[in-house]
Amino acid sequence: MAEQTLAPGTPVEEMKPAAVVEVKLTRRSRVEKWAFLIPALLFQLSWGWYPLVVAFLLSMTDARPRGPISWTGFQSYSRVWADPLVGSAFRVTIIYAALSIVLTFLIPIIVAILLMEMKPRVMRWMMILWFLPLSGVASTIMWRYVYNQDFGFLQWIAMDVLGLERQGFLASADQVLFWLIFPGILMFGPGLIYMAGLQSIPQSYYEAAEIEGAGLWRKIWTISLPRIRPIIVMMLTFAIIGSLQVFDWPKLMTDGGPGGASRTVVMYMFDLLNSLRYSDATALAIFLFILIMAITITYRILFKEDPDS
Amino acid sequence: MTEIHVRHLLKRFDNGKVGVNEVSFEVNDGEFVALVGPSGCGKTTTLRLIAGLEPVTSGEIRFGERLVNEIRPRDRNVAMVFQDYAVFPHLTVFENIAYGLRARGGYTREDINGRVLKAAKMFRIDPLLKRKPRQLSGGERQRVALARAVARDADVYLFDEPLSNLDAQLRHQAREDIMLLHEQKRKPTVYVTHDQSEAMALGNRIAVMRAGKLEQIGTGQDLYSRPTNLFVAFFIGAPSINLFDGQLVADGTSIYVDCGVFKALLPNSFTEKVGAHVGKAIKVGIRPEDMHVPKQAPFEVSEDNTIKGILNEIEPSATGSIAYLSSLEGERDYVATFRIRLPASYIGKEIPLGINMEKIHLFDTETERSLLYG
Ligand SMILES: Nc1ncnc2c1ncn2[C@@H]1O[C@H](COP(=O)(O)OP(=O)(O)O)[C@@H](O)[C@H]1O
Ligand SMILES: [Mg+2]
Repeated sequence: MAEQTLAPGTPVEEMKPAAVVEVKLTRRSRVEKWAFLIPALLFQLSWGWYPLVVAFLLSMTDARPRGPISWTGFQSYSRVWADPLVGSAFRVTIIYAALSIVLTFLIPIIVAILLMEMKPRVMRWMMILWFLPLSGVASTIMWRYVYNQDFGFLQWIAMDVLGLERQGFLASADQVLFWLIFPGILMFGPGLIYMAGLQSIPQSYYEAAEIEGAGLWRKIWTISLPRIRPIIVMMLTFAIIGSLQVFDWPKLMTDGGPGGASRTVVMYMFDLLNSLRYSDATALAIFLFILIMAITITYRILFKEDPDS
Repeated sequence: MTEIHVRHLLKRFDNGKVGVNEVSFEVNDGEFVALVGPSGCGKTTTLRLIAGLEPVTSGEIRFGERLVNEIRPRDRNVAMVFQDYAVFPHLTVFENIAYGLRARGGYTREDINGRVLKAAKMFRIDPLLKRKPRQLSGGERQRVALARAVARDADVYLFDEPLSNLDAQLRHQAREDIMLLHEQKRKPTVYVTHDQSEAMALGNRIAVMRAGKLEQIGTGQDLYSRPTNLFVAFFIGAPSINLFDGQLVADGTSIYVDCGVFKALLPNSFTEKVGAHVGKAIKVGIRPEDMHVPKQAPFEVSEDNTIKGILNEIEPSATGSIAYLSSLEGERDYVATFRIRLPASYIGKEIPLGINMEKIHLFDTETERSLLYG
């Protein structure tokens, strides 16, 4: 098209069709752009924003299964705020999130980096281990056995191998959160993502660093970590959001016990729903939403996107 | 004072492939050796063995007296410029150049600043010190790699095709930058390239490799006028040497090369060296510049040193012109270069050219070794 209009001596009549086609093209591309966007927008609205708005509206009412519903303003918020079990659930959730981020988020990064130094065979085995699925009802059966106080594998290690006294594991209020997170240290899929990220770093960076005189730690600090930084930032976002909303794994393993020591916010929400306190449950959900948003926004401000990656 | 001694170097990869096969050569103190050969011949592997990035299968590498076979790359104190430059994308130009100084330690902050600035100035990248590699052109990135190599005092300098990703214009400037680096450091240097003209322009000496083996090492002049085998003769020089199949025939005390398309008398001085091959098939090599228009030839042109052919095409070149010819029956093409511009009216005509028989090359067809210089 450009050639046609640029060519000297092109009759004016011949230039016109080109202009018409161009307008058509832009209109078509605009339509296409929306055609691609609309499904995503609808999805976002129906599964993201709509439930949020409904939850917010619900939390301002005295919603119940039967009978008339009336507006109650922020009553359910103050009720939830004053509930001591809510405070305990938030405490459990935050400890759980912090512990799981430290243990299941940092450790795989370190292990992945160190694995890169190992022989390919060792690397493959670790990747297979990481590939084993962790959650799901099936693995709860195995882990429940491992944690069983009387004939479990860990009790055997604690008493017969290490010679310690009898341990509580999931039945101990002090230990329960750690043992809930423990399986994630061994089998944590994101380790694979770091390995993939590390493997995509050109070998010549490490070779250049080696020749320039860098040792292992300097290479990790100046090459590996900066290069997988975008992956770390993204995975950490998911880890924060995911661990603050944790529900199924503790529900299946301990159902919040012992004595609420592993009852997270979402589990308490579930309990509230079960006791038909809909507005309290949604008010609690809004509190959690605010907490997650605040943490995520702070975190995104702290770790800005790095255009060099 | 260091030299590089490479003796019987052999590298067999895990898959059994031999990348470098019994290679031996020396690089003297302050010498610049260009390692040249076709792609896949083992140049990079040789360089990586010297740097220590690949373990040696057998053989020896010494820097001066020191055997370095088992020494880690960072303890060999070499500097290397990689083909893809390996400039760290997340570090600024300054941090890239300072990387080796910081990693090795023992430099004060002022010392590092001074050295980085000096290296950057040398390659005209001092205004770019705060930039990230993303914001640099290919040529600038390459200069960052050179500056990183120069900031530190290494014992040995290694280059792996550092110019192959640059366009022709930048390449010329970059060659001068590399020579500048070498002048500054005067350390033994191995420079890998697949481009023979680059090797000829840069190297004090040139080592030619093929299929893992070192074919010949010598000055550019050596390789050009006295190649010890057919491969080196063909690889060095552009346009390439003309090769003809032929045989040696004796006539009394005289020996002729008979290639069908021409028959020429060998100088007496060659008789002794080629005597044993009389009657056998050989390959005859004539460099394009050793064929002359009869009137301009620096020797007497006669029936005994003439090749006749049809001129197909003339191409002007920097030093004169390149003529593409074919034999009268059209079965052989050959190329001649002249110091003069040939008039285009010669195209399509029959042209006799005088062959400078003193500079002819003869190779054994079987072994491909030169009968004269092998
Ligand atoms: N790590 C490796 N494993 C197996 N073969 C290799 C390896 N590296 C190089 N080679 C082989 O060794 C030969 C020489 O390679 P290289 O030194 O890179 O050639 P050049 O640099 O001259 O192009 C090639 O045939 C290549 O395929
Ligand atoms: Mg190479």
